[in-house]
Amino acid sequence: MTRSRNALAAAVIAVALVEAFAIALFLLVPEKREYWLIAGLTMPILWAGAELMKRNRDSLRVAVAYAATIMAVCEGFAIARAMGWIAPDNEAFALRFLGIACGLVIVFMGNVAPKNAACVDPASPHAGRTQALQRYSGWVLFLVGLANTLIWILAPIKQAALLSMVPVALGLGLIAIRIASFRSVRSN
Amino acid sequence: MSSVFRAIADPTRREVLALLRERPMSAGELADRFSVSKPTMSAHFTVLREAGLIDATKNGKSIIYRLRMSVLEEALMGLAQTVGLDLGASAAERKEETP
Repeated sequence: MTRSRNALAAAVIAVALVEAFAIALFLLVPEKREYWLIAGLTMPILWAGAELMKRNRDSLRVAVAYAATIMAVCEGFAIARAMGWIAPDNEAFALRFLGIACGLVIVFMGNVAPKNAACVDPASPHAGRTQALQRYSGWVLFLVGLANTLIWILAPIKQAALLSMVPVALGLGLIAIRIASFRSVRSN
Repeated sequence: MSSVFRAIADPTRREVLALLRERPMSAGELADRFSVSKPTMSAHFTVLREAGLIDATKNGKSIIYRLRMSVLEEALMGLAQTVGLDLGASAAERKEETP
């Protein structure tokens, strides 16, 4: 019960932050209103849609909390830029900081992913394989986050954005392949 | 965090965690793999559960344990296992060696 409440509270707080920042940006940067409108509407629509599917709500809410945190960090950066808190000559540093923050969120997300007990039904005949998939995904995300963070720390700022996507794409590809093979074994 | 260190410091508990990495197992299934008494095993399960490394679910008459280790906790256990290699044979190995 407490775990469910924590997941819900984390998701609500993170999404509320995304919405507040989107409204602020809508007012502060009117020339890009369509972006802030999309940013503000995406999370609640996706979350509501997923809740209606009624599948494993706790893990869904944890995932929403992580996604919304990354979005809120990006919006916070945009607000800081719009308010002039980031001087133009400091923009590269701020961008690097933002990249590192997103990388660390992925590290944290990967670290706790195998702890989510809701994903594994111990009575299921596939419990071992489900648990292995969960652990694998956690390790991949953890390493992807570390690589992403290191790239944002070490790579030249002009190439960092593009380079940081390489481990993310690779990691998501590896997880997708593992899920596909898991499903094919499960359906046989 | 100290409860995690305490939990993984013991080779028997590390071995329980290694077994649970394969799949969730019942308390009886786990206990059968070790030569220690059931109350001792039960105490080990309690320490692991209190550290948040395993989870217990009641399934009929048996209790099923499953792993709940984060990536860092697993890495820490791997390190403890490597460092602890010279501590001697593990409990399961000792059982195998017993005629």
